[in-house]
Amino acid sequence: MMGEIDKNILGMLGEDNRTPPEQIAERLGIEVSEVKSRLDRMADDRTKILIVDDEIDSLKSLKMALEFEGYAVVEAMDGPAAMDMVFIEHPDLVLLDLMMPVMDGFEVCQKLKEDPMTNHVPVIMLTCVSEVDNKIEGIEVGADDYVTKPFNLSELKARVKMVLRRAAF
Amino acid sequence: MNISSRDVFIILACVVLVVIAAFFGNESYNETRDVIQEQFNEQQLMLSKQTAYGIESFLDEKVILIEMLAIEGATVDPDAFQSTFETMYENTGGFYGIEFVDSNGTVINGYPVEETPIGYNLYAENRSKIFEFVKENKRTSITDPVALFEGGMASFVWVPVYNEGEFRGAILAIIELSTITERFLSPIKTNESGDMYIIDDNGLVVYDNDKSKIGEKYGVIFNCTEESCNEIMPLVEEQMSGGSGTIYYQQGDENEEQIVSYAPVSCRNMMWSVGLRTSVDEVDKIISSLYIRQTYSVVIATVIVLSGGIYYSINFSRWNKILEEEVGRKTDDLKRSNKKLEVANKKLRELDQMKSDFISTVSHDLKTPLSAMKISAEMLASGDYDTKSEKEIIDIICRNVDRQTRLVEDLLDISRIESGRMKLKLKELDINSVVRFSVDQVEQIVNRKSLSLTLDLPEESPLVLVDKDRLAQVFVNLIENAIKFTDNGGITIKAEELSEEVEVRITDTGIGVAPSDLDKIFEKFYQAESTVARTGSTGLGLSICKGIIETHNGRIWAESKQDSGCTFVFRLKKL
Repeated sequence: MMGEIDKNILGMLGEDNRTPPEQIAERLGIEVSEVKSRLDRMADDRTKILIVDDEIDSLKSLKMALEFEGYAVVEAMDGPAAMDMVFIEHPDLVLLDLMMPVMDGFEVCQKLKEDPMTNHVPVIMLTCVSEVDNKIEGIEVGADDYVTKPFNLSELKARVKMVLRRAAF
Repeated sequence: MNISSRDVFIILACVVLVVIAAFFGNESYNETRDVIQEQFNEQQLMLSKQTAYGIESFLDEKVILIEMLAIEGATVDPDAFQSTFETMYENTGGFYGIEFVDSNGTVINGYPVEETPIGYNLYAENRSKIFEFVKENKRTSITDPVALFEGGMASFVWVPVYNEGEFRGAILAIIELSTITERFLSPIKTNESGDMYIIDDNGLVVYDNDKSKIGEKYGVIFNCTEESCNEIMPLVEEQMSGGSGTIYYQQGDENEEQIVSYAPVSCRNMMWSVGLRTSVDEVDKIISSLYIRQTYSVVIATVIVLSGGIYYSINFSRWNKILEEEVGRKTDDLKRSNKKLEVANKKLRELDQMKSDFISTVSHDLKTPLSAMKISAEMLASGDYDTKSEKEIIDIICRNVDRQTRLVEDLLDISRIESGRMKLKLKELDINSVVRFSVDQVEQIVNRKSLSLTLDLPEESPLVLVDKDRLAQVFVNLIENAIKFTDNGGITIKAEELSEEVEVRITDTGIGVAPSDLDKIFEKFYQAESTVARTGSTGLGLSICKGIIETHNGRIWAESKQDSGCTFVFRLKKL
């Protein structure tokens, strides 16, 4: 749905690349600010990371750290929201917390990996427990890497870089 | 009904077995019959021979006695015979009478005297034929049986008396036939051994059970006339010629097959033949009686075997039943204990699962704020942040330190409660003061959400023995919990004095709790679905409340209808 709006914006700019945002907003029936932010987002060539965590503080701190590192960060607070974000934002990487209500990290990962549209997106699981069983299950459902909380920020950054490099091949 | 080929085979096999059994049974019957017939014939022949021999010896004995008397008496006065006759008559028996006839044919003496026709002259009566005959031939002659004047039949034994060639007369001994028949033939029971008869060499009947036939021609015995007697002619001829043996013939109209065993009786000129006549059916009767007896014994044996078998099979089936019951009972016991084990096992697994769930939840809840703090602290340390983020980073750290502290405190409380190490500083307090003390601590939060907080306290506050801080903790927890789930309306705290307890009710107008979840909400880390976005609570609050109230020997429970608010109720013993 949001993809449609993006497409329409791009379509209108394709007809005339000097169409002002106000006109686009008027024609599509949305706020001018939204058109601007959409255009900013589409113009953003930074690597995009989706963080999925139900803990707001974890999410916030991680977001700040990664944004400062030069990544574009989008966020989701639970499994279903994460699935939506993957389809809308097409992130280059997903950082997925394991323990979430409604739909846990394994389930989200499995769904992403089963869908041919999303199975190329690398996933790093963030988990509090470091038990072997969890790691195995994570790998079985297709997680690309595994980081145990509380993790070292530089370690996480390194892993993110590594997974992205691997996905680029 | 379905008849399988197996059934057909069994039926055919039975039929074949029955045929074979019938064949062999018939064979053995015929063999048995032949053997028995043979033995029967031999026995009959033996019987007739024995009888003939008995009669012959008897007659011989009498005749020899008379002959010796004749030789001895030749030289004495015939008058002397009288006493000898008496001795003989009295001592030997079998004589009807003994007489002496002189050379002129006149009876001169005899014994018994009253039976003796003394003076009776044979020539005068024209009955001198045999007298003449023995006089001529000088040897003993025995007549065919003749009827006596007195009735009955008798044989006359004539013995001539010669003294050195001079004929002196003859001794006549009359032997009544009944003496012979009674002595030798009567013991032979007609029904059991057959029908005994005697004929002489002229074919006349000497003896028969039917006395009227005596003296008649043999035909009367076999119920045939001269013409129809052809069938028995071989027998009669054999008998008349003095042979012995066994012969079969068909009797008269009924065509009944008869067996006759016969043996000769010969004495001087006399020649008789004893016949023992039996129906062949007798043999069959014997065989059938044999078979009947065998059948009886077989039936009795079968009955014994069958009843034994039935007894044992009944006993076995009873034992079987007892065993089955025993086994069934044991199986049931096993099943029951298995079930108990299963239940216990399930409980253990549940406990184990609860323990792992607890550990993983605690681990998660401890590590989550740590993770946020660590990332934030690392950012501060590395200086990789802009100034506008700095405040937020520090806020995150402070918030998470608080959260961590609260969680650790709650966990310690839970640990104290569960291990029974929670120390209460008990004091006599009035419940109203505790309520007010608690409400002061949460007032800010209530106001922030613009909810009303109503107190409904009794005028005369009841006293309770409680730990003030712990009870306040319960109130704070319950009120905070109520605020969390209530967006509109307010919270009412009502205290009431019951007969032995003080009841406190904390009622909200929030979303309520499903009846099925009312018990679960007191479990550790239980979080209702609607609280998915963690609101900073540890999920231990209600569990701690329950623990504190129960440590005070009180009770706590929740009442609710989904969507119409919730009431937490606890009761404490009043002083």
